[in-house]
Amino acid sequence: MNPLLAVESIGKSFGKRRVLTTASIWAQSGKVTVLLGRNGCGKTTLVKIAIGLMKADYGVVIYHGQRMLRPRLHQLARDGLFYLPERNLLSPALTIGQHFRTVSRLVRDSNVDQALEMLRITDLLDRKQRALSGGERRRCEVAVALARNPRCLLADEPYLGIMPTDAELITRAFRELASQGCAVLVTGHEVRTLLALADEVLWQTAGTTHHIGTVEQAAEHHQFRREYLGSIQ
Amino acid sequence: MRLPPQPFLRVILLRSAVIWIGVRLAATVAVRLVPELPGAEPSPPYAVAPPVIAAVIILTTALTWLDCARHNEILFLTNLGVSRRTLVFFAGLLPLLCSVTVAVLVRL
Repeated sequence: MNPLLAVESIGKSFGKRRVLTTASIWAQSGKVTVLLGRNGCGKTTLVKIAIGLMKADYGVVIYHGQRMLRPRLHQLARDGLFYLPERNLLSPALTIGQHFRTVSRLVRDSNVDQALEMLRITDLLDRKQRALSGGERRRCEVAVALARNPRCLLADEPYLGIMPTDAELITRAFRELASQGCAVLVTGHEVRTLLALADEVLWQTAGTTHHIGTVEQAAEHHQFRREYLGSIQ
Repeated sequence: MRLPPQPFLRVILLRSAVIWIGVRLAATVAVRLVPELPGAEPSPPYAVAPPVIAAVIILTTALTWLDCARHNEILFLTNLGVSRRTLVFFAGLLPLLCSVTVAVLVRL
């Protein structure tokens, strides 16, 4: 395994509360890696450390073969990484169309038309994000990620609070990106949706991460089934 | 240096201009409220001391930055490769120019 992005042995405390002890995540080109874990276990913290929005107490980030103690998002972005936050990617002051025009201005090999079509948002371009429903807004945000044509995508809880039809479009977009060679890492709780999407499964619990393997291996992983999946098969 | 494109740049500059007007007016009023030393030469109206001008520029830049972060523009642009340093530069550009212009005009 030679991942495009590897975040290794990360430790992080907030005051006396130790959130991460030795957590690691990675994203491989052409594959969708899913990071599962209960609420508050530190998935978002780990992703934010990976892109430099938060500082780790220890650990290292390796992107495209380059080791970084403190990565910077704009530098990673110039090398093809895109971070899709849990919420709030788009500016409420601008229309959706202005965001896509910005993407095509800043990114040479952008893929705006395909993204608009795939996420079915062509008729939303004149609106501002306040005029959109949660699902429409999420589709627009994922479309920005798709339009940027990233080499690596980190999507933090992209399925949170959206309709199944929107989730289906988003899954198609992630699969399309992976088929183009993008390394996709997705976090969340929506077990059925995420396992249907995943090539590789990571499980975060008690401050550390476990590489569970493929979806089939996840279904047979005793501890993962007992402590996380419960009755879900 | 990767620059923020037009719609984002316009929003940042407009926001910094509005914030600068508010901060500069507040600074002017605050300075007027402080009693002048007896025997000191009366300063022209709207004039403030250089340290106050510097404080106005820094405060305006910080407030513009916070407002841009609140409106998700910083994350969106850094996600497309625009550095934070560039964004700080544009957040502080108009306050700097306006402050210098006003300082020159009130001294004339």
